[in-house]
Amino acid sequence: MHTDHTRADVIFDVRDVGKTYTMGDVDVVALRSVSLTIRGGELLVILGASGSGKSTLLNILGGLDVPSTGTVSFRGTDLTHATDAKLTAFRRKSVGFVFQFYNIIPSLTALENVKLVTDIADDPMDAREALQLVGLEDRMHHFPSQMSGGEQQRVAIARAIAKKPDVLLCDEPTGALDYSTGVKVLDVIEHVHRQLDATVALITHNAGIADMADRVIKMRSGEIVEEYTNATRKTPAELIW
Amino acid sequence: MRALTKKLLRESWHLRGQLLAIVAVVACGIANFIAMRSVERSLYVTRAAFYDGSRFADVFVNVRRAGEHIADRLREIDGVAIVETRVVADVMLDIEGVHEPASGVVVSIPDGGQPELNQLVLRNGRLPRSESDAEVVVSSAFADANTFSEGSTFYAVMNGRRRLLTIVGTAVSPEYVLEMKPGSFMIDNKRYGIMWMGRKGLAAALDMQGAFNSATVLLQPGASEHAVKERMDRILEPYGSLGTIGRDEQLSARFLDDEITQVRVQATIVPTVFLAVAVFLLNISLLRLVSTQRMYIAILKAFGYSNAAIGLHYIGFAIVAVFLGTILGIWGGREIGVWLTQLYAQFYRFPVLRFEMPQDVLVVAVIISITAAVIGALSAVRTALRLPPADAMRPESPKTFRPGLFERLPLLPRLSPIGNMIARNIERRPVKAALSVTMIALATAILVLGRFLFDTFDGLMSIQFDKIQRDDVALTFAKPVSHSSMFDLLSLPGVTTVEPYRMVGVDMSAHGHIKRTAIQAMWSDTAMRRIVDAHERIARLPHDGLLLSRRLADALHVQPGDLVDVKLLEEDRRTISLPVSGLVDDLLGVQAYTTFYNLAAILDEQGSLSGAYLAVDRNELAKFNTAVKNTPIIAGVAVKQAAIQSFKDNYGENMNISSTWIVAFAVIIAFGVVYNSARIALSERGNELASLRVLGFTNGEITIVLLGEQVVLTLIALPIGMILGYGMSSILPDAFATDMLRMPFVFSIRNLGLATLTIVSVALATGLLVRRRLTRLDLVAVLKSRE
Repeated sequence: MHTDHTRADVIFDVRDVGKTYTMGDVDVVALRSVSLTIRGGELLVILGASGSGKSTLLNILGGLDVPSTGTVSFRGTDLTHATDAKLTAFRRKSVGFVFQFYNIIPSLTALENVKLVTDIADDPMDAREALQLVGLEDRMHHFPSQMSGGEQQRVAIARAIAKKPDVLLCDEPTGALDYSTGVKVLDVIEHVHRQLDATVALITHNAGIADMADRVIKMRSGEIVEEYTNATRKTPAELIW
Repeated sequence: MRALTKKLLRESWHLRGQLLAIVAVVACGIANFIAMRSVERSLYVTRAAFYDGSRFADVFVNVRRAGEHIADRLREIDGVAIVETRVVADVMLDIEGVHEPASGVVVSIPDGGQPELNQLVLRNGRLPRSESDAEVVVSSAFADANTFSEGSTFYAVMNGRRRLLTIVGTAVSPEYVLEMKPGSFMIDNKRYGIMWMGRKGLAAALDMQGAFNSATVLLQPGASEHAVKERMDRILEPYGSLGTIGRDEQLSARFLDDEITQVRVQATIVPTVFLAVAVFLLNISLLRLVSTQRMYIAILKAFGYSNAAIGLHYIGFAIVAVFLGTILGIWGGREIGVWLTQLYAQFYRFPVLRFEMPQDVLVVAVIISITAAVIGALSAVRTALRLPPADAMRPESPKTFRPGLFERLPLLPRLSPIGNMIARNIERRPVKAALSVTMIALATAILVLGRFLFDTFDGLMSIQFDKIQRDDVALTFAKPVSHSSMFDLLSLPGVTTVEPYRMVGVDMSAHGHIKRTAIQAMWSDTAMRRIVDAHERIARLPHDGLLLSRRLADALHVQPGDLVDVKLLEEDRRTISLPVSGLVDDLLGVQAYTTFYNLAAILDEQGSLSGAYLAVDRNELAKFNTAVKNTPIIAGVAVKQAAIQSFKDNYGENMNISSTWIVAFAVIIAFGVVYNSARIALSERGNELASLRVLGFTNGEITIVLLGEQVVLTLIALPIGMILGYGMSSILPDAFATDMLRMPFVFSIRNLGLATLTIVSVALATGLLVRRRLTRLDLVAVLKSRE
């Protein structure tokens, strides 16, 4: 299913993207000049230590931020100069996010957290179906405070995929979890990737996780320093970190 | 500066929006407290000094005529210190520049000097020369309203003769601190004034040489006023006494006393409301602050800061807000106090009435403020202190939610996820939600109550001038005249209709209760002065028996069908029994009504009249006025248009200012509550809202999430506030009812509409102010942090 990425559609086209933040009186360069393409259906891992610029890149891909220099386009549409409203619509329609700290709403049950997104999506899957996909069919009516971290992260994944996004962006999805829970969460991401043929970009500082990717991009100090394709992908259970 | 103090100041700056809302509420409370308490104290102290310094009498009595030697009998009464007799007369005035005839009272002062009692304080000029019957000192309010100065002249009709009077001075008197025409409910200093003239001159003008028709008495310390009055009444009864009255019934003294009491009550209630709101706002704001600062608190504890230091630190935030509010409040209180004092000085005439801020009031204000700060900070401080350091180092565990009551109730529609978020957030903190609702309801109720007062006054005016008083002019004769005088009145220029009335003073008693009042008699089908009750219903005059003001019937414990004993205070002073045939909830005064012919029969008269109600052609009014000014037999004139104009001049602007204040106060409360609640919601739910934005929710959609709770709470508060406002409004007319005046209950849908509109506008504007912050949410940063 994921064999021939070169012929698949280009989803993201990133050209010479740089990003400089002004923090107080100093300018911090987060990205220097990054170029890459992401193709439909691939599972991409962006690897880097903290401060390498990987989160900034992910945020730009997800329409949470715009580059200072260079261009980024999604399916041929320019995101570089998009208005806030355009970016909101892009996130609403095309992007599924998974974060390190889950960011699910504590006052809503698992099912309602997913419904929150399906309510505003154009052609979403059933919220229950999304929860089934992540293995939470028995916990649908639980509130976040009644769930473990791993379960909360799976709710976040269900919430991200329920709108059938073009791309699933995962920012350190296992960062707040212990090893075995982390494996379970990666398993779910892998499962969703296969089941829905979804494009996934996952960022991590954890080199062990790179082995589950089709393609790996290594970043350091705001630049891509290495890029390679895994001949065979490991399953999450086989990963060691 | 210690690091912790720096933290306090910097974070206070950071929290300035919320703290400013609290500052505003505290400032309102303290300003009201300072202004009202200071004014109350000024009035109280000034009054005491004035009454003492000018020897304000304890007992007053008017008689028809008594020989001067009778005064000696009064002096022999146990407990009497000083008796002073004098001559007093109601007079009609003709003042240049005042179209309508004016009226007033001339009071004699001893020849060659000040009276022993009720001494005058001259504002300027001098006292009248002893034998002059043309020189007068006039009250300063009367002089100011007519811009009189020394040497100004006006005409007065005294004992049927028109005289030119010359003003030689202006003065204030403890007896007339407030000058209000008896029977009126409005002050009109332009058309009603007090004059003082030498005894000889006035006695000559009134044919009262060697006699008096008014006496005032100062009691010895500790004497029984009741006993003295009883003795005086017995001695003076043969001389046409209208009964002794104490200070508590003396018009000016009573008004002043009521005013001081009212200011004192307001000085307690108004600041209490504001400070309660301030305590609530401090409480919720500081609790939130402590919850966001768990980590810092843990670190401070780990570093070895004591509980006391940490507690004081958080109390410090409350102190900062309250301190600024108090400073602002003291300044505002001074401004309001000065304004109020000027307002009082316009109506209540003292030798000097200055705004002074007593030190103890200031000290109490500061103590109240600090107390409010400490109470407001208490639960936040307790939370901070109870936090074990190790616990505090970890982020707060996820908030626990459960399905809300709303969802558990059958038959109710299921809510959307956003609806659930709003409902559950409210239900998770029921006490906070209830307090928010209470405060907004309170603001609503204040608006409703404020509007009610104005509607009621409007209502009173409309009942009085549209429904009751349908005449253009009401005339009073110096003494009852024969029925044929009606034709003289008809021949006055412009007069189209004349309706006579007869009024007789009586002591009415039943079941051992006695009340001094009057019987007013009109034509049974009167078109000029209808008797209208508080519900604007027109009462019909009974063909026999008396129609009683309900308040009079209550005082006498009688009901329709009962008999009352009526002692006539005119001529033969007979006592007769008359049946009560009906009751009326009238608004002004307490009296009995009957038909003109019924009273004529009771009095055994041929229909003499005390006065008449006239319809006058507007185009002929000027000629009419001139004619009346030259008719000696007329002792009093009330012109409807002039009364309405005087009301507008005297009260209109002040009512507008008060109205603006009430709205401002309510707006500040509503703003404070909604703003702080919304800011706290933003702080608590910033992560949720940013997450929703990341998920593709628009700013508009997350605005609903943020402000939905405030909207729901405001919508719950509005009807509660309306009911509360309605309830307080409905108590008010009874609470403030006096023998002189009862307020009608005028409650309009418009009132509720205005209150709703105001609160909703404030809530919306405040919400939008907070909403601006949503556009500044840092989506990226929020996702990188747990809280």
